[in-house]
Amino acid sequence: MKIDKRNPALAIILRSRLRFAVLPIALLALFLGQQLFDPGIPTWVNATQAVVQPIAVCGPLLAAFAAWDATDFGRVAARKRMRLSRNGGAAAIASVWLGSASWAVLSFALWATLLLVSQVNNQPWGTITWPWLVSATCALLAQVSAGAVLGYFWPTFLAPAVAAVVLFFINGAVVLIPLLHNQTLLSAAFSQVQQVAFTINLPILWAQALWFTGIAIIGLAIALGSLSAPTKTKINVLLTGTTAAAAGLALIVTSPGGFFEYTHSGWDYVCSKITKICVHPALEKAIPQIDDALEPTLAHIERTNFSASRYEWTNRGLLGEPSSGAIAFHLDSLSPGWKRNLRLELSRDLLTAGSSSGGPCDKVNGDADPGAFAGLKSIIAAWLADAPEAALPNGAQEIGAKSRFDKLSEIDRQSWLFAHTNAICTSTLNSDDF
Amino acid sequence: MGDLWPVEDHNLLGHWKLVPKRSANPFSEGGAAPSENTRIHAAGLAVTRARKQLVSDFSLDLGREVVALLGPNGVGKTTLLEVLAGLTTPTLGVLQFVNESASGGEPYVYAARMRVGYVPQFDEPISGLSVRQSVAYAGWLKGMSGPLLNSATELALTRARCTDFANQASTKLSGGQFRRLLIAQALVHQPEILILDEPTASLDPHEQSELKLLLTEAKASTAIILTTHNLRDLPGLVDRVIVLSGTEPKVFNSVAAFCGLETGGPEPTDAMLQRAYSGAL
Repeated sequence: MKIDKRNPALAIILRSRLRFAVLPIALLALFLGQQLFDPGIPTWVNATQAVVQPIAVCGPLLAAFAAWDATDFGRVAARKRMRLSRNGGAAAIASVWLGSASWAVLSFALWATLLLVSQVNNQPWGTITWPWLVSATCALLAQVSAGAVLGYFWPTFLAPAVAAVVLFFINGAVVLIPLLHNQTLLSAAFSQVQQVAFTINLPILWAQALWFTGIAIIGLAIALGSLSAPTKTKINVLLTGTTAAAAGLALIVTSPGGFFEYTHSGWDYVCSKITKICVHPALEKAIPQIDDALEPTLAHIERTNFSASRYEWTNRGLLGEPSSGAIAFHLDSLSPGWKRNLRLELSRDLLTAGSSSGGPCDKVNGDADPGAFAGLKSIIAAWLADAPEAALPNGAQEIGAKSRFDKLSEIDRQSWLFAHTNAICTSTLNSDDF
Repeated sequence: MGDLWPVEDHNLLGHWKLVPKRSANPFSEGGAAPSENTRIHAAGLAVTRARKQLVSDFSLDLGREVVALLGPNGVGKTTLLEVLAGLTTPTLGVLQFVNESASGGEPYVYAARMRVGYVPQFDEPISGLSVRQSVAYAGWLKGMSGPLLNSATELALTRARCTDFANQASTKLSGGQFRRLLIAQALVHQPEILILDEPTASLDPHEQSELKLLLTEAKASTAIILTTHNLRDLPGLVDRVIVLSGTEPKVFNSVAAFCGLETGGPEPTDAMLQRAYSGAL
């Protein structure tokens, strides 16, 4: 289809300087988004987050270009020309806004497509959170609209730079300065680490979309106010924007929950047949590597009280208690060093009273000073984790204890662990026990 | 050309009234019926902004003619043009379009949008648009679209002698070319009245004479009111001269009369024009 470039509304959209920014900003977002994938844990939710999060940086940049575009129409003569138009400039200013918005959304669509397509081969778990993409689009529009307002009312070469910087900091300020419950969600730059056992609170996403759309429309209404469009049109646009923003704001700040909801029951474990390691479906492909990582620790605790019939992945620091008879372990990603960290964390959890690990110490309340026991516990944990450098004995007595423990055979150590389970769990172990 | 114009715009009639005031202005009897070919009737116009009187008691019946407003900077010429263009509302006075029907119609500021073409003194091109697109944009602002807009754009480009550089980027024009683009933009909706604020300012002599020629052609179909500091713009183009000097405006029904010469005589020299202007102030 031939595009009639003489169609002025289309010409205004096509002339936008944002068209030059679409690809570079999409590539920047692609780079930023790639850093946000949890290595080894392919989920669509994480992929969606990787798409959305670059808006914190790319949104202000796109807004800067929108500001630059708007300076052309904010100059006195251009504004006079619009005011003398048949509809008082309403169509013209709407075209300017539409032009900037179109290119910004195109850039977003480009980086979203590239990032999401790049995940297809990883067989991500779950589904793409479309409402999150919608709310992100609206967040982008709100920033572009704010940038355009600045460029329109302050048509100088400084406007684009100021728009980018100011928007970046306003977004940050909304996140950082406490004011309202859930206020973080009012910023286009808010960030939240997505974990696989969470699902997103979808109603909040729609409320967010409403809030950002309202902001975008209010921006247009402010610009329209400077023109001679019919008062009824101005009032209608302003009312639409204000109503949407107010409704979104109210829904967000009165929402009882946060952005994420914990859904432990929303998925079924996938287990390895031999080692009895059970993980979230998003980690299914990593089971052989997790087997490999945990194998030394599982071998050390075999035939001790710390051994279990099943080892379950659970989310860190959450209510996710392991099933009865199972030992819990945590894993956030397969980023470098994860195997050692996984073993160490499991080992330490096993030795800590009330750590919800599902091990024998869970049922015991430590009545001694846990700090005093830290050095000795580190000797045991270092052995269990096959990480000798993690043993950090305090003082001559504990160094002596480590030395004696190092001289024990594997079977003797297992017997020792079996015999001292209660002392370990109650934090009453002392150097002489080694 | 008439068939290019949307039918509903043919009979646009506007009038705008505030407090009617009987004018003491010698060239317009305030409230009196304007002559048959009058297009704008203004009586007792005054503009006050922030307690400062920018225009006071100005009256004019503008017919199919070219009127030049002369006067020193700050006397209110641009403000007056903006009032006539519908950009600024006067604080006092009567301002209305007059044609086949003298009653009813929409307010002046709305009627002016379609019936007046305005060329400001200072403007900048919209980057990314070619000359042709810039003219089409101006037509689109006036409510045109589709084939009508395309025809009107081409016509305006021809009338303003912009066809040679119609596809050029509007940001890459010389001063004279850009001024012609502005005139094409002002003419695209075929206004009854063309208002120009210092159209020849900052143009070289060649560009000035080209622009003058262009306006001389345009006056065949459009009433023109312009301001200028370049007195050489007057001979051969201007029919009436109004000198604003802060007191009562002085009106001269021809350039010859302005120079104190007989009508039909030789064209006044620069010195004569300068002397006449100084005398009128």
